[in-house]
Amino acid sequence: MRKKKHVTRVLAVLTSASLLAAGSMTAFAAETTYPVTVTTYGRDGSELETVYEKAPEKVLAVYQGCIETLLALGLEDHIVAAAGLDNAVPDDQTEAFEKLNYLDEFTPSLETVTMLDPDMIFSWGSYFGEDTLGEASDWIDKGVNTYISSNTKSDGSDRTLENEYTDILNMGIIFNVQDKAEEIVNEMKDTIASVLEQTASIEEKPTVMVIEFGSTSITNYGASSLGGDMVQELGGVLVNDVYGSIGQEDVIAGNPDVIFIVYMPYSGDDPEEVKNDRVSRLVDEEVYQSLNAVQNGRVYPIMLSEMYASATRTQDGIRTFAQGLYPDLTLE
Amino acid sequence: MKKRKIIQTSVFLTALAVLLGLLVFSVLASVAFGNADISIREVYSVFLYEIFHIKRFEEFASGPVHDVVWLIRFPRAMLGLSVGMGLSVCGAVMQAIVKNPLADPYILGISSGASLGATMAIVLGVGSVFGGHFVGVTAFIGAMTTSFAVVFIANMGGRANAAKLILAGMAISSVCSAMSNFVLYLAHNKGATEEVVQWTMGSLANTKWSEIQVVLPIMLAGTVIFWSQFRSLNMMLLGDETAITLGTDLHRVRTVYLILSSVMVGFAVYCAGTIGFVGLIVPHAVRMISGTDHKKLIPLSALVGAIFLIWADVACRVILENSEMPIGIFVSVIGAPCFIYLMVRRSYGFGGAR
Repeated sequence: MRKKKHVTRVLAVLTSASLLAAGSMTAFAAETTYPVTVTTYGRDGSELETVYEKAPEKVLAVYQGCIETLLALGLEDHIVAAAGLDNAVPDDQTEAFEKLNYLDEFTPSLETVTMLDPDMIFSWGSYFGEDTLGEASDWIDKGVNTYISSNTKSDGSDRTLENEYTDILNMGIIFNVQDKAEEIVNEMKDTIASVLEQTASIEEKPTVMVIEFGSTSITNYGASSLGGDMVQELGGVLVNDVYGSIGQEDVIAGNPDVIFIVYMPYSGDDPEEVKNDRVSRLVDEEVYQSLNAVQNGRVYPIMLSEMYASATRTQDGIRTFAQGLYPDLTLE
Repeated sequence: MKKRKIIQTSVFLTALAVLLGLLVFSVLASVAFGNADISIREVYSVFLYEIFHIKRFEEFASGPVHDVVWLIRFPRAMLGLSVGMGLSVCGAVMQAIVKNPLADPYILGISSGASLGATMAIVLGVGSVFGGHFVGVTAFIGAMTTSFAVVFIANMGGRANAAKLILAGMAISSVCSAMSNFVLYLAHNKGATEEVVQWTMGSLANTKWSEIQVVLPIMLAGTVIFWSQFRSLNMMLLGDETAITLGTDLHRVRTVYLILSSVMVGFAVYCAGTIGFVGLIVPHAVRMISGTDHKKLIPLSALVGAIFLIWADVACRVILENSEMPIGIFVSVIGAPCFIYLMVRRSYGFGGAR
């Protein structure tokens, strides 16, 4: 009898110890032990291994998502220069952004970059083209690590939400801020989980198209696009798998429950004006009046930067998509 | 001799009638093709309702089937007809004006002028006051400005002749494409660059009836006017010196033709962007069969061009599942080999004797 009680006590102690350990795991995420090896890609999608001896101190960050990821992780002191913003950074990053050396050149030239002498370049795949910076592998051989947003390599592979998570987590590893990176990614994952939980009882999930109107063409964001993947992760059903140009007739043939209209204001544009203009190219056109989404008022705008190499804006994209797909949803 | 002429004329008239029938058939048949799954019965029910307002087909007065057939496919076929006709006729006329078999409707720098207009509209938003179709409007203005500039430059320091026109066209063309590249480069806007590229490949998509109402009459009128001018056009192939010896001064008519064809091409550009190759290849193909007499060449080119573009557009719509490709690409991919085949198979002459 005594003995048995003893065992129970030991068990209890053990359990609480393991609970404590588990708790500390989430509170204090793993520390990076340098040197650390991180896998990234060349523009053409070839895998590149990069070794970091310590957290980079002179990072060149080019394009919206790259700059915002570093700022979200509190790494503004590690940035030697930034360039290529389409729009202002979110309000909570403005203060940090003002400390940055933001270049006038939208995509800094090879000469500018060489003079900056960065120890890491964080950008999109397209920046490592023949007439821009040259092959990423050449930079790595020169001792400058590169990292490209995994959804911007041009090998035609699927663009996924998972890639966006990986990029943020990899930045956490490279700069030894894994806890912050995990927090950002977990928020995205939690939002998706909460949406799926709340909508589990809906048997027929809404059918969806994500389209963008150009001056003469219509682009459809199919399953292999990041936007398409986000919709599917949230339970939406894409009616057209093409990632590329489609015709008016294809929109009518698809006739989905919900249509997301992609819009993108560039610096100098009035965002509201661009948004309304793009939406009106669907809802005010005679041709599209028979569409269910138009008749039921289920046409929603979504900003391109929330669903295309969106980095930390992925969270906004997930929310925009979720609220359009399930209007009754309550998100925190 | 006289008998031979009668036979030739009757062959020509038969060909004309057959092609006209084929054109009507093409318009009607092309409407049955597309990505949306619509049965042939439904397609023609919409037609019967819209044209004759037959009560029995009232269920087709609205709804998706009606919209696809009447608001998307039919205007497209009519635009294909108008643009194909206009470009082919202008191609034949331009080839005569500049006396050069390489000439096409865009030879006077019209396409690069139009591209510059479109680039400025897409990238910089120039001309957005013109409303929804401002890219087309700006492209039209660009096209007209360049062709007038070319005519003006060619007339500086003496009268314009074929060689001067071509050179002026080349020069203006280079200036315009350099400017559009400059604008594109400075803008750093990937989306816009892509859109400009798409635009230059041409498309009959997103056509509205209001556009057809403008473009079709212009193309028809232009074709008829040029047809009536076959004597002067034939004379142009002989050259200015011969023409003057024969008592005709071609200088003024040439300028008038240039302006008229610029207007036609400008409107084609406004509606469909720059669709290459049709205006070059159709007149040549027709000439191989009909000979160089513009009395036959103009109407036959008009019909063949119209039919060709209608079917090219059908192919663009159906080749890719659930999506479509720009017509400019398709026309060149299919047109060029056909043209080479025709050239190799027959000994081909351009002007003068047949």
